Amino acid sequence: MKKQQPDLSRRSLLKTLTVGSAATAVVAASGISVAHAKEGNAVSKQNKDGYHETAHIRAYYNSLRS
Amino acid sequence: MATLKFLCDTKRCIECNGCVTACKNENASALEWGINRRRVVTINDGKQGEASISVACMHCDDAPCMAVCPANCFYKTEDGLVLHNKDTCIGCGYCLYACPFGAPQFPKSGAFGARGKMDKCTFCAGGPEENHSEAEMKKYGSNRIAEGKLPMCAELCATKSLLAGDADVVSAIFRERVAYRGAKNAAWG
Ligand code: SF4
Ligand code: SF4
Repeated sequence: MKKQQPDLSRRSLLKTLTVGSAATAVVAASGISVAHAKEGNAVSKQNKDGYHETAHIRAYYNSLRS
Repeated sequence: MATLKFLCDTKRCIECNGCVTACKNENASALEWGINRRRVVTINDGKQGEASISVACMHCDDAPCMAVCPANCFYKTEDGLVLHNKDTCIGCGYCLYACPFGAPQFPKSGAFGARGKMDKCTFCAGGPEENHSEAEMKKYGSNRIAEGKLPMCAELCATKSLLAGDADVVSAIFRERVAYRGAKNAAWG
């Protein structure tokens, strides 16, 4: 099991926003960090046991067509 | 690579709640009192134009829950499923506010009305723990995807109204049905 790290860049956004005078620059920078945060939500389990069309699933799909 | 989706063919749904029961039974090991991951919503009940739809997490492509969660609990699998980690969930409820389908659920038995860990439909794909481990069963319920099967709710739907699986296959089947019906309003409504 792979544990996910809480993304601190999002929380530090709130702190940095209170700094004030440099607010616009911070907003621009925070846009980038949010984008990084999204990439951080990575797939945490490999797909070897993911979806694959088994005989069981094919039979289910066929039952939907009748 | 497949993208897994649910689709409810409302013309076939008879509001039997079989999907709700199937889900509760399949994932009973993980469900606290009062939690229904799936439910059936009916409009115009008892009147002309009555229609029912079975709703749970739709495993959004650009999931709002994932975007707002302050604890970064959510992750997306290679099959396009939106799953979450109950160990890091702080029970804040943001995901419920963000979700257009009201999918996230919270245990109702906590002291002082505290929200427990969020629970929602996993597409019967378990959680971040090892497949079929005791921890996975206890926190997330069954993992049918790893067994080469699809969610119990859809597989058990008696009228084949609730469809689940590879989005390409499911939408092709639905299109065939609509073409066969041939009428105006043959899809939804
Ligand atoms: S919980 Fe709601 S917002 Fe999140 S993926 Fe499911 S349907 Fe979408
Ligand atoms: S309730 Fe849990 S999963 Fe939902 S937004 Fe809060 S921490 Fe994230």
